[in-house]
Amino acid sequence: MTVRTARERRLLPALADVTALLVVASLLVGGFELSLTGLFTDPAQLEMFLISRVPRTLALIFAGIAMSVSGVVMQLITQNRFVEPTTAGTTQWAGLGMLLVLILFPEAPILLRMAFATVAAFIGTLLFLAMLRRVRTKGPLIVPLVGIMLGAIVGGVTSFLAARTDLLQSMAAWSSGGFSGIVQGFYEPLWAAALVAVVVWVMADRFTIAGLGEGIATNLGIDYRLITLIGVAGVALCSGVTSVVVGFIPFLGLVVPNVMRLVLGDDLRRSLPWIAIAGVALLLACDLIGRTIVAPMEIPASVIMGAVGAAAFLGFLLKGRQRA
Amino acid sequence: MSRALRTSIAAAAAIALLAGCSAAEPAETPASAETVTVPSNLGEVEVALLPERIAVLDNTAMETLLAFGITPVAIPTQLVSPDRFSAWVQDESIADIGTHREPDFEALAAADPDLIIGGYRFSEYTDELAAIAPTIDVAANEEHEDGYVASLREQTASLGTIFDQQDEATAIVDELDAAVEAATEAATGKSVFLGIVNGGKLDNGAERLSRMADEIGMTDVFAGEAGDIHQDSGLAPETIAQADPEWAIVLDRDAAAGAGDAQPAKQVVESNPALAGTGFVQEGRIVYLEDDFYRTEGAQAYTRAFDQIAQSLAG
Repeated sequence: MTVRTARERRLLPALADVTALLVVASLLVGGFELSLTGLFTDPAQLEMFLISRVPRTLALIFAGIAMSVSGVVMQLITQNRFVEPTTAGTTQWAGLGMLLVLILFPEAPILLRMAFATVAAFIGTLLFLAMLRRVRTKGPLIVPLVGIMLGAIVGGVTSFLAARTDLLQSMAAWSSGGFSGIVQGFYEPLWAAALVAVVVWVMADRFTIAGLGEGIATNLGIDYRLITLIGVAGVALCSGVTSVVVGFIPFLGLVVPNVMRLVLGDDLRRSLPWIAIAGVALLLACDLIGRTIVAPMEIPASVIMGAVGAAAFLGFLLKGRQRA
Repeated sequence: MSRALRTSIAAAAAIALLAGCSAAEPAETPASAETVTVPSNLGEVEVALLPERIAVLDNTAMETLLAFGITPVAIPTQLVSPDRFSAWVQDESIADIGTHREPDFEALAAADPDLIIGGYRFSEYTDELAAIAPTIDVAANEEHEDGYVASLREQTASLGTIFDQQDEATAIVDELDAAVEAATEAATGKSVFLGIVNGGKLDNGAERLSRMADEIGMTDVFAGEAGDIHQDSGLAPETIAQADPEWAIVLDRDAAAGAGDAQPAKQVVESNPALAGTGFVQEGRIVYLEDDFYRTEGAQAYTRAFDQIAQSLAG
């Protein structure tokens, strides 16, 4: 059993408490008037609770897990702590996949859209990794720069196609990363993120070893390429499903694993559950802020997350520079 | 300049014009330097009477020009409703000058217009347009002191003056007035949710539609609530359920754009479980605006919308 530091003993229970509070708040705050007692006495309140609040909260939980787990997996695969689905171009590829399905098969059911988004995200992420192999100087800043550039190119192609097909505004609407429209019947595909998280957790030790680099991992008897493929597939599935259901959520996968690494170190088996919990807490907090500050209208969680995340990203970069 | 003064100048111009028409010189020779002055969004403008080569960039003016029997020399084809203006869209001789996101000024210049009817989506390009040919901005405009619908009346009258089609213009305005009256009678005091469906999401469409509700005295349940930020904001269905308005007026942006993913607004609204208990869904008190409303927004589109509202509310 690992030795827990005093800092962990204080921080982790606090994180669990805060997350639990945020879950309760997410269940109780919203445009429809609900009260704890009302849930038991008023059938209309209970009905809206089940139709709207529970699905939205579950969607937030799953999306938080999806993005934070995706982030840590990508960081291990690329051995770079600034990589996550939005800085590696993965989500932009998912967006391109979604747009293509809208153009090619306008009446496609949601599962086909997700399949397209996931496959595009998978191909794009492999392309990113292939490009990384060809980049000679893999400085901590070069890797995310390559990803951001690739993502910008793919995003540009997507915007161009959308403009040509008059889907620009429609695309803006579905990629805006909001949970406001989530009701029963809309969030269910996000259960896939929970599945991916379980797979990653089961294979956590191998991902940890893969994170030491291809040479060391191979010497330790790990099939590095297989682990990478499984990791990329999981990340692609998380990004594809999340993009289709709620849109893009930037930086979550970057901020959370980096903060948690400072507390828990690199052992994924130990840290993954806490990374997932912290991801959920951060996303819930962003959504609750967006839900309340312009009530009854809402600001999407992605906008709040983008502001918080961009500041954190810059902070990490500058800190990394000082060390280097 | 006061509105009264502006109107009287316009009236004087119209009278002068009528006088001109009844004079010995018949209207067949419009090439004369005769001009009229009309109100515009940039103040009074003097325009040559009966221009022949017209570039129409302002969607809100298009149906009126169609009613006047005018065939333009240039239009932003992608912004034009393909069914309602099929005669224009299919006419190869009409130049496509791109969209407001990517205007093709060369194509516009090559079309050699005598008059560019700009404004609306193209209002930021007024200087560029004016360098090509005389440009006016008589677009329907929410900033108009008496509101959007009043600006539709003024726009129609101005176009009637410029193209010497006062009777037709008056008929268009009369129909609009009648529709407003009928809708007002049916709708005044009723509470309404103004929705817009975009990318399969239902959101607050107040910025686009409150001018319509205001004109006929309906009460927007979200009036003054952060307005219309439908592209990067949201409105939870449960919030609409809480407000539980008597009516809903819904603009289908997806259908308007001919978006491939068009989930018809009807499906988005009526299959949402959170809205199932609201009065407007249960009683079917929902007005879905025409599919191309988003592209037209002119006097005729508003006339038809008010007719729709009056009929729905009466029924």
